[in-house]
Amino acid sequence: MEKNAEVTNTETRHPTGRISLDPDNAEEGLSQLVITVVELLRELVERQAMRRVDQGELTEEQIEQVGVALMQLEEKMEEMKHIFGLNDEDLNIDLGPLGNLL
Amino acid sequence: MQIQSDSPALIYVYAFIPTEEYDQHSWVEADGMEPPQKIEGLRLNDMITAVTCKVPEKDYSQDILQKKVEDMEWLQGRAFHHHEVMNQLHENFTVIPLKFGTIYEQADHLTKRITIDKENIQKIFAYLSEKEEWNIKIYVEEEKYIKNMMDQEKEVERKKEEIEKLSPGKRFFEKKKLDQFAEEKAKENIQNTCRAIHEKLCASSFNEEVKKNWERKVTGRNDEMNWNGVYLIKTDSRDKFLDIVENEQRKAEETGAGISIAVTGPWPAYHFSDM
Repeated sequence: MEKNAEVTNTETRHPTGRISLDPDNAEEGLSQLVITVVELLRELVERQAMRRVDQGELTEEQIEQVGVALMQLEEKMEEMKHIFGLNDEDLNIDLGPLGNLL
Repeated sequence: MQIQSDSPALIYVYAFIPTEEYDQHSWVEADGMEPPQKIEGLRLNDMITAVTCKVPEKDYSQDILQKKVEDMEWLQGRAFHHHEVMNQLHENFTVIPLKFGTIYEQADHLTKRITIDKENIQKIFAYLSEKEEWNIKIYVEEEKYIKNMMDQEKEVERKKEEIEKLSPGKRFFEKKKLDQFAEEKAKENIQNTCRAIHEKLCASSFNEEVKKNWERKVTGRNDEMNWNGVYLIKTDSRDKFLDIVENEQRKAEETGAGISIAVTGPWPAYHFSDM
């Protein structure tokens, strides 16, 4: 009852924790899956780059090059999400006991 | 209540209540889990009365029930009924609520079980007498909270200006670092705020427990649950407890930092009556 009383905005989009791959909209499900994997890789690369910058492993020139590349990649990902009608929540898969993917 | 040991019906047990209280209050007839069966008080001894109803074996035997509870449509109405019965009982009785789906084949089995647990149940009755449970959930719109927090930090403004002067590549990393700092600082501040509210509530509570936060797909809300506390309070402390909650709700609203405090109750002591 308590839960029912609090659940008032059921129309809001929330992560289902599932990639939709049913036959009727396989294309949508596939694009969501691909973009999720690309976003995961992008975030991993970004974190790795930040760690290397913090540890002083990159020259000034390398920092500039990597920073610009990551910035452009981030912008491109935003474009892709917009094109496929996805938001950040859609790219976050619930991995159960391991937590969320992103 | 008369139960035939050879009856095909099973006994669904909602809760235990003290026999003394059962004798003092008139019993309002109400539908059980499977109408037309009614909810009945089953006096187990002079201390403990079980609140029960009969349910058909064909739907409630252990194996079948395990499959039935996976059918959300079947489960929803019955779980709601169980919860409603508990709330109604709580209005008049000291209640030890049992889990949904507590079923005995025969009254004798229930009586035997109670005989073993008699002392423990009496202790719980004494512990729960004149008490009720309230739930406090604190939600935070994290983006709004971070913006509010950062707007108040003069150092952040200076840092932002410095970042804007950097080359694009360096600017990217510095912005990320600032965002990371803001996120971590916000998490720390939110936890401190929640804990401070919790400490105030504890001062007016008999017992308390901090539960796991629910995810957004469970709450159906856009903001994130950051605190999920259950509080056992004495019924005569209710006003004092709710005054603290209202005061904190008002403060949260005034600061405009995206914090909201949801309070629900009074409930039977679900989290404080483990047998």
